[in-house]
Amino acid sequence: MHEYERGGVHSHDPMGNGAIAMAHTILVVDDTAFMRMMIKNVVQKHGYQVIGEAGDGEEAIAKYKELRPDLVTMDITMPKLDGISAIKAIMEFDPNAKIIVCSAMGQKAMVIEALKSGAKDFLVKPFEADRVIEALQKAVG
Amino acid sequence: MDLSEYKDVFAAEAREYIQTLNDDLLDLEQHPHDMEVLDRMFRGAHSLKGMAGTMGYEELQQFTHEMENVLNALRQGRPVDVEIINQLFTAFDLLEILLEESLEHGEAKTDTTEVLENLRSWLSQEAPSVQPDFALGELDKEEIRQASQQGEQAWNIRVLLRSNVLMKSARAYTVIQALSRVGTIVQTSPPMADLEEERFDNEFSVLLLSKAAAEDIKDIFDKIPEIDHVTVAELDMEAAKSPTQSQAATTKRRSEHFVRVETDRLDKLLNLVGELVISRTQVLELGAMLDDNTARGAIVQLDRVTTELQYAAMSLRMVPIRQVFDRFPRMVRDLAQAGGKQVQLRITGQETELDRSLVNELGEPLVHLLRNAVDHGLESPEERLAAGKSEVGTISIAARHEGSHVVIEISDDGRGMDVEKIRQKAMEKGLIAPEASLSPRELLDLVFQPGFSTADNITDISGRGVGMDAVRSAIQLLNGSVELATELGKGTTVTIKLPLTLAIIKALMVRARNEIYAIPIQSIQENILVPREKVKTIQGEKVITLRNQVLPLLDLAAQLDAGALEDKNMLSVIVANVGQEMVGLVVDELLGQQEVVIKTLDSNLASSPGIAGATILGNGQVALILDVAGLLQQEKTPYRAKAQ
Repeated sequence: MHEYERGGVHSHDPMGNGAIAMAHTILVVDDTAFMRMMIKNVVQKHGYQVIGEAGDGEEAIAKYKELRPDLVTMDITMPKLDGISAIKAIMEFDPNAKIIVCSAMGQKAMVIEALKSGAKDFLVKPFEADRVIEALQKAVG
Repeated sequence: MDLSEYKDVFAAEAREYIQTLNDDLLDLEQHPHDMEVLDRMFRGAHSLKGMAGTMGYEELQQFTHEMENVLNALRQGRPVDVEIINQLFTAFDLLEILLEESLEHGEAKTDTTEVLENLRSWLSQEAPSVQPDFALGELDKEEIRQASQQGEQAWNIRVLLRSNVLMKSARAYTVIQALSRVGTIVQTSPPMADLEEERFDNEFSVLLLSKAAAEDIKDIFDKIPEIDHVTVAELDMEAAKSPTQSQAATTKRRSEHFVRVETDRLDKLLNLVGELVISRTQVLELGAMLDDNTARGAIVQLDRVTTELQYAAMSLRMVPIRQVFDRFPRMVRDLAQAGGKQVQLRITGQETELDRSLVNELGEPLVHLLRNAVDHGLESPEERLAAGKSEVGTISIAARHEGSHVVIEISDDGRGMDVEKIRQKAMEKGLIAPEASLSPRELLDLVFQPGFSTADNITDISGRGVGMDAVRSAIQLLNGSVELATELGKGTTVTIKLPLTLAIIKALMVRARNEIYAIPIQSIQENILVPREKVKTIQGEKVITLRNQVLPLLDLAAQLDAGALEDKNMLSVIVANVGQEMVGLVVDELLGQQEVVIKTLDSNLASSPGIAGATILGNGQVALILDVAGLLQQEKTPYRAKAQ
């Protein structure tokens, strides 16, 4: 029911060329507008639809509950509430949530912590477009 | 990026790695199944490769890469044999050359083709089937047996990550996490802790108990990014190793906290502390004139703290003598092989600490002594058997602290030296007069005379002594002494005694004419007053008799061209010695004992014989530090041939 509804609501054409009928929806969480923009550009070029953005962990949780995206990209270091706490809260709310954690190099302990908390996969900054798309595809198909 | 500032750190660390590789290879030769050693060598080569790459030393990087491949093959179960050990020794030697060339010129020019081709051809030889590298204990095996009764299968899953993975540990974790959803993970190789710390190359294995089929397990990896290749195979329990002791001990290495500091900075610190020591002396002198108790208390405190600071600073310069000894096992092995000898090397006291500058200077004389011990000291296995000894000769190097000195002994259980032959030889060479009567000790000491022995006549005489004069002068430059003891047929021991540090020494301050000199306290035996009429002249040299021994006198001022001494009836004589030799130094006045900081002399002055350096006194005046050994060398001792 839920799956069906979601597909129905967001099945529009992000590229404007009619190529993709059922785009996966994405919530981009990062405290810098620059990173959000980057991720947004990359994923939109590959047919994913960014349906929301959040600049801190609290906002991420609220937006997740509101938008129910197919996938979340989650920064770790953020004001108010960090990414790991946000992942825990979202996983508690929705055990099937698909979250990809984004980290800087050298934060492997944090990344493993995030994976333990329920993140499906991780991305290491600086991002390479191919890697981002690979992670997205493997996570949501 | 400018890498020049990292170059020193790189150089130091790279040299350390190569040394460790050499040590480990020696170890491996003895224990070809020691996985811990192999792992460490592999990691060492790998780290070296990474470092060389970062510095842009391509030749070095490529070379280490090939070595890494070889080590990896050994780690995967290729048998360790003499052939590959020898190849690796050659490779490590070349590696050292490549490193130094890279450091000096930014690139390495030495031809590596032959060595690399040998390594590659070894690699391309048929490798035995790769064994799983799990170490299964009894508990693990029991777990696997129980699981198989419940229909679970033990899978050996080898995962190769893509080479550009940015966070290998996290990637490995996602694999482990995904696999643990379909079964139980018994073990990983390398162990989980190593995976988390990124202590693995791009490959790891997981031992999984699961009901899932091989295909289903493979499918899991479709959902995981950055995977290059996966193989899923049934585990062959028989082939899995039992845990070795070394693996049980795990790799808890070098977790201590160290900071690398440029030696220049340490030297600067020590120099400043030296200045402080000088000022302290000055303040102490002033304080002695004060009536104020509070001020004097403060000065005493200053004195105490300065002394402690001085020792603390000096301890920073101390390094374990291991740094010199490290290369000896390899060297002795090579020498023994070349000379057809069988040698067992015993090293003790490697942790004995001494001043870094001493360590740097010590290598060469010690190498000389070891070379002598192997080449000439030890007999051939046949000779040894004939003499009723074990065919394996023993050479021991022992270091220890003795008061404020470091003592290093190098001994062998070889043929020893024939004192009578030394006497004959010395007479032939005109080093002693035919009628001279010398004690055995004095005779042995002749070995240290320049020109006593040369390579062409070495073996027939004593089996010892090539360049012993060079050894002695090198050690004496360090304010040390060398002595020799031997027993015919039993062996020879060379004992080297060195001061702990060269930076600050205790000295007796003396005045000769208008100059003040510092005489290192360790070369002084006693101070005496001698009435002028007791001075006799023998063979044109001034001597006195001290407790029935003839003591040659040296007029310090005249010796150092500082003019004549004051005309006094009582002469102040300092009895100084270097090794067995003694001399009386005549001075005008004794000024007292003091710690002095050695300042090396400008190169123009450095070669002045008899002068070891200079120091600055409390009042700012400069005093020269005497090198008693040098003074003695200038002045002929009586039993040396006058004929020359």
